[in-house]
Amino acid sequence: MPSDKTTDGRVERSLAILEKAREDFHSALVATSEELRGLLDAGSGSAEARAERTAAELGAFAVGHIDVDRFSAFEETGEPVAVTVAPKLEAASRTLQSLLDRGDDLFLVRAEAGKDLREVVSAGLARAGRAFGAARTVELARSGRYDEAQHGEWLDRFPPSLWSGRERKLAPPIVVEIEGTDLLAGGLADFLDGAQKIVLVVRGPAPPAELSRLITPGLMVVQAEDPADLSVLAETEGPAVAALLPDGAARFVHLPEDDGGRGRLTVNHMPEDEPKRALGRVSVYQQAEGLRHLASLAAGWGLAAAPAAAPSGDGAAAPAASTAADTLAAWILRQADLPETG
Amino acid sequence: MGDDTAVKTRVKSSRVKTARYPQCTVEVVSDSGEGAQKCGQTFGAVSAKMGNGVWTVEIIPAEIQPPPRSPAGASGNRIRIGEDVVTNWGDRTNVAIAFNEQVLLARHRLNAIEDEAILLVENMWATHKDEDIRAEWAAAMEELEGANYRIIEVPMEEECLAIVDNPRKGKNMFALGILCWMFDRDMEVTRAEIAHAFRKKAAEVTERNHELLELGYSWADSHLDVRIEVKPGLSAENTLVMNGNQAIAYGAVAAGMDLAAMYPITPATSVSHQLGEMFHKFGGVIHQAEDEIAAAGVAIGASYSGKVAFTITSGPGLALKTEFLGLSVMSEIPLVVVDVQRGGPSTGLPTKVEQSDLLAALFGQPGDAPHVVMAPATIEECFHSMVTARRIAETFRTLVIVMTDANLATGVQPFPRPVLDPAWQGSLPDMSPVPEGKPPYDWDEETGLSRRFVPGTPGGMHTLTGLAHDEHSKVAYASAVNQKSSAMRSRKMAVLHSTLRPPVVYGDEAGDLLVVGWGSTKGAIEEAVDRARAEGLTVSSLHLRFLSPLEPGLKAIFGRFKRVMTVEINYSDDPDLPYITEENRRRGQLAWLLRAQTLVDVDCWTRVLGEPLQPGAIHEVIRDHISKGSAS
Repeated sequence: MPSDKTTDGRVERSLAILEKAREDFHSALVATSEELRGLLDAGSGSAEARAERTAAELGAFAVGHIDVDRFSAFEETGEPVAVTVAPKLEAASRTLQSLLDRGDDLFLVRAEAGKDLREVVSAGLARAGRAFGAARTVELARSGRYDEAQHGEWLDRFPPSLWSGRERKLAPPIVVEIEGTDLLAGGLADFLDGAQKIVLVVRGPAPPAELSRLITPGLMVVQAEDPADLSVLAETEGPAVAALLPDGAARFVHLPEDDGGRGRLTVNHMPEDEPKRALGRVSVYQQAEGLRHLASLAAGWGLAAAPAAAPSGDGAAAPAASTAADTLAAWILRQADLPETG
Repeated sequence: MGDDTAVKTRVKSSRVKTARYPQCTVEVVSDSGEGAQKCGQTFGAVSAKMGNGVWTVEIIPAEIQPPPRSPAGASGNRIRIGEDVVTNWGDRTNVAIAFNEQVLLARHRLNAIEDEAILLVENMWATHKDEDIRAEWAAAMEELEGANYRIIEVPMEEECLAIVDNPRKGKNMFALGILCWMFDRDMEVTRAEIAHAFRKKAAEVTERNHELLELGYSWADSHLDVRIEVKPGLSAENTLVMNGNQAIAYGAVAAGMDLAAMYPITPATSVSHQLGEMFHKFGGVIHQAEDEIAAAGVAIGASYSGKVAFTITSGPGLALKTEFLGLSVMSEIPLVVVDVQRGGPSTGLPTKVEQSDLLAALFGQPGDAPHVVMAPATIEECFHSMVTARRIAETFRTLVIVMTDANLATGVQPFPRPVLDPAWQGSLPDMSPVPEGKPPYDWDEETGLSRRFVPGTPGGMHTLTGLAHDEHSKVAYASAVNQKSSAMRSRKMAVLHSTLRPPVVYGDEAGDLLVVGWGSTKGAIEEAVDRARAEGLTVSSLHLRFLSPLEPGLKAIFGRFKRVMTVEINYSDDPDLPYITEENRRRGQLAWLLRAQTLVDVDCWTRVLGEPLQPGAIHEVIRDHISKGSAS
């Protein structure tokens, strides 16, 4: 594999492909920030400011039909923000503004060589996730349920493990610039939920089929050389992970399951040479296993070899059960429909 | 427009004439399922994207699957395009393209076709193997040729068979190709529109339809001798093209609605179809309830919990929701209801337009249930009205009914792309701790307004009831309690009324006649007024957006005109009919309301033809009323 130590504009092109997801998150950020500013201003703002806000809230249909100055006089301004709560709301507002000020940088993480990919991604998402933390802080503070000991860190970091299902649907996309020797895909599975999109822009030699380990029915997984091949990411509403690798790596696209319940895997390129040397923590054997895994999925071997012992029924696949007790436990877990945490 | 001679065979002329018109009305009609509506919608969308003013109206049979080749089964689309903004469907059709002669005959018999119109009709029926069909063709053509049309026979099936095995699935795109040639439509835009229309189907489907489009275009190029130029005079940039139901759906999203609860009912259902495509992307939930009543209950429940909820329905559904609407008023839980009106009492005319729900919307809830009723007048207003409705419902803790109709619901019109404002999404409900002792209905004695308590608010726990209750939401039957709570709920309407501005008169501030309308009739009324004023008649019009509370200053405005009349799409007795007297005459619903509220002798002219009003018909009525006024 030829060495490639630069990203040659691939970062910018990856960000461009994630434009819609970025805009969705950015719009939510703007709306939350303005809502919070409105809350802080309510009651304390001038009559003109209140009328201006009322005019905006009433929209275009009201123009010419409603006297917004009069209307705003009847708007509920809410109880004045309590003195003890106001500083926390101001802090949340500053957090949201600081995220807005970062612009595209909010969605980009440049990992130093040798860093653990899982930790890098977690930190990047926890940083952008402060938007969710700020919104939650406001809700809790206003309803008197804020507890500094429990919620005090949320404006500094709000990791994906705390995100609700709805927040995961609005997950900030992230582009991670990383050394090929640090490409260990396994840890990324923790984040691939909701609408999370992760693009890895890889510098230098990398394991040839590392992302094949992440292929699961509902997940879009792409390995490519040309950023244009990532355009499929913009078409999925679900989670997706992609890596832009140097020339010579496997190139494939796994589309999430369709109505028939089957994902569609297309392998565009398989390296001809067997891996010959370890790359970072990935041994030659592990690299070869990645390639074999991809080949087997492409050939349909993986589907045919699915464990036959899995109990039937609705819900997500459970671990294969070896005893009657395990079978019962697995069934109960599927039926329990446990609420999401966080 | 066109030649006086009826042409029974294909036209082939070496010289193509181009006639230029400021506006032109086109109809595409077929049996149900032959795709005339898709053809018409695509033609309308392409025209809008090229910068023409456009208004489309669906021609929908009353039955889902009427017998083929029957006049009652005519299905399709009327598209009026213009150099400038088009606000209504116009009077009669200038160009019609029909997939059989019976549906064309239906339009002729409804007086929907203009003199000298160009009619293009599939001619396979002339030589059909079934003798009865051949006879029907001959009789129909004889009747049509009695009028002053230019009829052009088109071998649609024969041509389409070169590309598809089943021409029933292809004639519409062939017809679209003919229209594109006649009106010089941009074929790139048309191809893109077709690709969008079939985006969920296999790529071959789009390719096949593109081929049929090209075939129709080239057939017209070889055989027709007249083209029509309606110059695009508008900027198509930053313009959206959609129907009123889509606009309601997008408006709901823009307004930050969280939940749409509904039960399918024509013609409202497509609001939920549109929402179904995109609501979830904005965190919204669409809930199809087990019936209309449950849909209202779900929406009220969601709103009670602090979400922004609305329900969508049509007349029969509004009737079923009645009790729950009363609960919204009584418990002061904000609720937006969209009523897409259709024709008739009971199940009536599901696919046809009417404005007959007004009085039911205003007064349909037993007991005294004061609430807000508003009516967008254009497709653009359908979008924006949702934002305003949400804000009013929350500020006044009440029920807001937004009344559209089948004309707005299915009509398509371009309008400027709204500049979205995050403020439309409203504010979070106030969940700050409730001060000690503050009750859930802490009515301001002057305004009737009170803070909304959302579950989870510290100190805000209370029992919710639809029974008469006091400030503490405790069931209370004491005589003074109901008097006071009724007054407080009613006072809110007076407060809202105090914020409304007097309506703006279209035309002069005084004159012989003032025409008053509401809802979808605005475009037709104003066009009729323009025509009458061009003849020197002193007529103006007024279009109401708020029906409850009524916009202020009406009596003063009415006083500046010699006569006032409403124009509406609901039933009223013609005063000259047997047994009808001044005392027993049933008037148009808005007329009834205005007479009661202003004590002005407001007359009315209304029709329930199942179709939008024509500006020409209103123009005639204006002339008639002014001449009557002069004579008296």
